[in-house]
Amino acid sequence: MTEPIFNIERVSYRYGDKHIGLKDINMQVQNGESLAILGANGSGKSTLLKIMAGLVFPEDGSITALGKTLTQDILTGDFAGFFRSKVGFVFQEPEVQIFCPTVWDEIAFGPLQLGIERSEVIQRVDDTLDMLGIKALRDRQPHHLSGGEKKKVAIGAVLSLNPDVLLLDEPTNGLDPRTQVWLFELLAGLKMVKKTIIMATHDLSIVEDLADRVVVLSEEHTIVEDGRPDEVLRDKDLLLKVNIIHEHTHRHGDIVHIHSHGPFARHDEH
Amino acid sequence: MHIPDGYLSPKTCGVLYVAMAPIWYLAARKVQKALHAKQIPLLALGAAFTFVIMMFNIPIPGGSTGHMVGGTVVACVLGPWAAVISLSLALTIQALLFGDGGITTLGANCFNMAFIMPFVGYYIYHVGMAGSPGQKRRWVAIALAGYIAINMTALAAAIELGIQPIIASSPDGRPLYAPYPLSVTIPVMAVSHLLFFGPIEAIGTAMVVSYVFKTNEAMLYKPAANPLKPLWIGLAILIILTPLGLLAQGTAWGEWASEELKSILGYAPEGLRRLEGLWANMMPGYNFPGWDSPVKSAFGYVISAALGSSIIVLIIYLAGKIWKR
Amino acid sequence: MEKVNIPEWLKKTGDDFCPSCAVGRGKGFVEKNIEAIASFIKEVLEPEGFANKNGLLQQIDPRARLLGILLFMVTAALLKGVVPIIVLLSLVILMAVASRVNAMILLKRALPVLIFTFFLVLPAAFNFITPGAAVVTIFKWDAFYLYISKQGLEGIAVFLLRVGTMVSLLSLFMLTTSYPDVFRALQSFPIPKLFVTALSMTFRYIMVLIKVAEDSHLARKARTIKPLTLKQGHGWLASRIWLILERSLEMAADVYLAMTARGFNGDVKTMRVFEMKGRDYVWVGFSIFILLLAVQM
Repeated sequence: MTEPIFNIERVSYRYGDKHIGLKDINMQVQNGESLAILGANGSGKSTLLKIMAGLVFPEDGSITALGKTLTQDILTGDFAGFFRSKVGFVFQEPEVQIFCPTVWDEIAFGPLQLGIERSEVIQRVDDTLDMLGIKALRDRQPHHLSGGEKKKVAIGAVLSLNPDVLLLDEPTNGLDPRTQVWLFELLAGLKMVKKTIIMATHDLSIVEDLADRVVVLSEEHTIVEDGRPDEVLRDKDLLLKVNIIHEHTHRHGDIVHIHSHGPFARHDEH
Repeated sequence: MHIPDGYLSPKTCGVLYVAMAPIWYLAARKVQKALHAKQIPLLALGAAFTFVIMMFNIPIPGGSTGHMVGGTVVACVLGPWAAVISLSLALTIQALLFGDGGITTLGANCFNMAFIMPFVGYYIYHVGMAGSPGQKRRWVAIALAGYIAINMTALAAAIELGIQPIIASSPDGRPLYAPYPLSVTIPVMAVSHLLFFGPIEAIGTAMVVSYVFKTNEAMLYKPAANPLKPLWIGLAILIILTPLGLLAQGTAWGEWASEELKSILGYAPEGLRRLEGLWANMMPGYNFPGWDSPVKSAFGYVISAALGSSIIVLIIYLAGKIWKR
Repeated sequence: MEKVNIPEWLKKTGDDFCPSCAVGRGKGFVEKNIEAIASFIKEVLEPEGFANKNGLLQQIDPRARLLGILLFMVTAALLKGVVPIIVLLSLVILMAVASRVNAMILLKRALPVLIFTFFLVLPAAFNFITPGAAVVTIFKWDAFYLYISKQGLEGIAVFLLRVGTMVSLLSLFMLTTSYPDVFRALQSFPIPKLFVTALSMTFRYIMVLIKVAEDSHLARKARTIKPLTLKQGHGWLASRIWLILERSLEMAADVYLAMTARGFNGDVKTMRVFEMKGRDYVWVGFSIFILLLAVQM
């Protein structure tokens, strides 16, 4: 068995002195895996993703990625360039990752920072614009972009680095239906070319269709489940306990229905 | 109090740009040391914040509203050096996008609002906050910091404008730039800022900084060492006293101060005069020998200008070719 | 189903109209801010579109364009006489026309500063500010002599023309150059990279923060039944400014992470986009030529 791309051992994280972000996380991610991290708001899934992206560092335990233990020091040397080109992070809010004057500049930013040669930068940007279908937005300024367009640009800005690993924080949040479908098809395509995809989400529909594996974080910031999507998603009690779905009762005339609802979950018990 | 283009003579603009250069450089160094790579987004967002609050109308007693500059607010939140840069960035955007303040006068405006204001405000704030005062005294201390800071800024602007008739008038007594002398600019700026803009700034500054202090004190800038370095107090006193010396005309102090000022300002034209001499020496006879009639000398002007510009363009072109980025 | 207990007062629906509502109260600061924000957004978000036209200035490399305009501004600053400045101003208007910029738009941009300047310098035409040769005597009675001096008139004429010319030049540049090109052009000037990168980012995030400001004000307006007292106004405005500050600091931290995640390590690397052509050198040469003419006057 080949070396896992991420090896997370007993990782804990705290905000300041009081708030626990993550508690005793143990997991591994293999190359080419498609993983969904499920959890309620505040369960720590964003933090876990940022730790994997080397943007935030654990207080206890260790994380090894691409063969090296991630620390502040390691990520300021030569390894930084290599790591950044291999691991891409797509933030939840597009505004913070669109900071260049035009869409073209934004998509070119990553490759330029990594010292890629001018002609190749131009090639990559053109190809990325093509792939995402946003060639028309090339010279657009960020304040002239719609929400969906911003998401596409944000993803493009990460893809132009050609990362092997794609970390996505709540990718479908706030997206209109058409853009959601577009995103799903893009991720499916990337999965087919063996990119490692790790999503933090509470969108159960995208989990079902894309993920090979699901990790569930509880509101106590620990992993409570790690398995196949069809198994995990069928465990209603677990999902209720960790506050990913809720249950309610309503009436159709004389018939009373009790069923579960999660964001985007399907009514499957009528 | 953004000074528009054309109000200040090129000499004044140049001197103030030259004065700001080391301040900007020093600010960049200090901020780089304190923030490292985080400096770019923090300074940019600080500047964006500054720009936005400059747009706000603040209600004042009497029913009307006014704007504040916010230099003291930014200094209390980001610290004085980062404030220098954030304020300079905000002023640049204002000048470019709205013509609020000129581009040639950007050096002067930055000197007033992005250097004098944050530093004066910051240090008076810390003087006032010494001894951990209660909420009321705190409000007064912050308001005072904002009030004094903006009045110092206004004084600086008044001096810059007021010396224009002295240093740049045509031989027949006609002012070439801002036409009012110090005896007009200083009282006018002083009265308007002491009585109107000052209180607005004081209220606005106290309002914001008090609120931040109450809600989340950690948001305010924490100085690494004792901020009241005697060195800075001495410098502040010097800055304040020199122009006041100008007002004390006739006294020994007044004489010294005006002489100093005139010699500083006179340096630039001295330099220009030497440059002109150099130019005349390069051109064999500025007016070519034999070309004495007015028409012919006009031609001489045109030809030397054409020659000069061609040489400079050639230098630019070659420089571009040699130094390809 | 969980029962939601709706209180009695919320169950009441009225269909009466406002019996005593005054129409057209004075504008409070909330309303003024909303208007200020709206006009800002309009001005920035819907540019005049001159940057896309195929005029004289638009065809020149933005860096050369900026350099030339700056040199013309220095020229305007150096000129001393009324006639030379008028000549330069005519040249500027010609440039505007050649660049397909509506002269009216240029005037509209210059007007605020010009009007302000006009009223500001009016007293300087009189002898108590600018003494000299009397042109128009207002009154003369013993020692009290009030007149408009030649020096005063010429002084304010030159001043107004100069300010007008310089403002027009800068406006011409901003109208014919898109914001991204403005920032790209600045990169080639001897300004530290830190400042130029931060400058374009400042502009970018002004747009984001202004939205926060707008939403705050609109939300407050929607809840305003009667005008706020001064204390209430201050309290509310302080809390909103605090909110914008908080968002600024949060965003700064996140933007830093986003930049780092894409390889940024303190030094922004950019790419040269523009190439100088013959006509750019001609343009710069021309502006230097005019400047050198002016210097010699």
